[in-house]
Amino acid sequence: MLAPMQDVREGSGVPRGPSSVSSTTHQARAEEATLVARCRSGDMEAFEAIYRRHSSAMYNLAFRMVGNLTEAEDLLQEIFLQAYNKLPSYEGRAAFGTWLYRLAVNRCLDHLRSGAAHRQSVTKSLDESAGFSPSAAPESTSARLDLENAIVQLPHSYRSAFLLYDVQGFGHREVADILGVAEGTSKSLVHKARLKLRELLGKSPREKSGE
Amino acid sequence: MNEDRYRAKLGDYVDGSMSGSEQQSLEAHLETCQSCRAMAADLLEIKSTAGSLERVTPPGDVWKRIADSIRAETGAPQASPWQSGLAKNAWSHRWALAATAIILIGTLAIMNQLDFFPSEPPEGSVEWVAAELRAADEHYQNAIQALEKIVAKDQSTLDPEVMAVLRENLMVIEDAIGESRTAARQQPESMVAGDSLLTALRRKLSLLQNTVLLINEVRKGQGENALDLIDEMRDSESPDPS
Repeated sequence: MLAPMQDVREGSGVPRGPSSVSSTTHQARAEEATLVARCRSGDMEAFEAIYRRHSSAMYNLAFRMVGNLTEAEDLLQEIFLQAYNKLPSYEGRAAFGTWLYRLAVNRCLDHLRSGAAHRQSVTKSLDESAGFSPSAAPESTSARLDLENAIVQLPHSYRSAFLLYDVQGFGHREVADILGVAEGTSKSLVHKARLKLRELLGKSPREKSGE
Repeated sequence: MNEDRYRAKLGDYVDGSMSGSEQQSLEAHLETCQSCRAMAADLLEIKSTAGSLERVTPPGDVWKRIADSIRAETGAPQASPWQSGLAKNAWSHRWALAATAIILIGTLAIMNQLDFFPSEPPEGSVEWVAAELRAADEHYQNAIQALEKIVAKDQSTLDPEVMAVLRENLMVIEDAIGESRTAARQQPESMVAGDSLLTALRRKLSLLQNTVLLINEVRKGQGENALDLIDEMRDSESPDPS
């Protein structure tokens, strides 16, 4: 049986989310604040630097939220255009990355709720993507692909919490901040997401045999 | 603890966030309960697999499309949509805001018998920028101290719970002021650091102004106005929207 991993994310003072988002060091925030201020002055190079810093994380989030690379690409563009237009409203109370993630999650949820999402097999999307490189171990690849397909079947609220916590690596406090919920709600959503994934992956008791 | 309660704890177990004694108790149960053991193993595997999912790379042309859209909206290579018609120099724009704030401080100064004069924002060197920032900081601090005296003298007028909330909000703003001031000292050439400091000082000033107004409204027996003001203050300190 796998042993639980020691969670060093919470309360350690050293956030373990992606470095593009959850650093609390003042220098990192000052650097990002400098870029934001330059963007506000119309400096496109600064906005491109912000894009380069955060685009991969946003793209991966969008892809796993909607399960479709083409739509993820469109969403990526929309997220950053929205970010550019909403920069005047960013007051610096939250970390910039948190603000950006919040915007991205809301955009993805709006897209899903609008019914515009065309879910295709995530494995098909990944196969067609130039960015996908299968692992050398077929069994682990199969497990990952099964999970990918199951994630897009989760209810939206479970999906966003699960992606932020278990896939992107944020702590519950950060997830709560991004989703605008209490920390306890984040824990509950992630736990329910995992239980639902277990069911979707066919691991619930009546499907399993002989363990 | 019955089985349902153990199962409810599996989320914390998987996250590694249980206390030592809780974890021991749960693990002792897992040794005797096959279904809980299987569930724990599955949840751990899901978490582990999730952390190792393949990352996809955004297509290379997305940035160009974003940049082209922005340029098409703004109609100029590097124009910002919200700055059209304003001063070309970003610093003079910000110092215009600072001057406006200083004029507001001057209005308060009449209430508190202090004397302030707005500064003209000439263009200048890094030293000039740092000196102007220090001057603005000092003006803000003077106004803030005057307001703090009023609040300290009359805070018993307000409900203790309201005062507790106001103090909590002040603490948050003071943290921001401290951080911004340090950044401005370390990076005197940084527009952002100066901006952050002024924004935080404006927030503190605004909160204290509203506190004084609230005290006055309560004194006059204007309960409804006081409640409106409390709502406004609460909303102004709520997290960023979106």
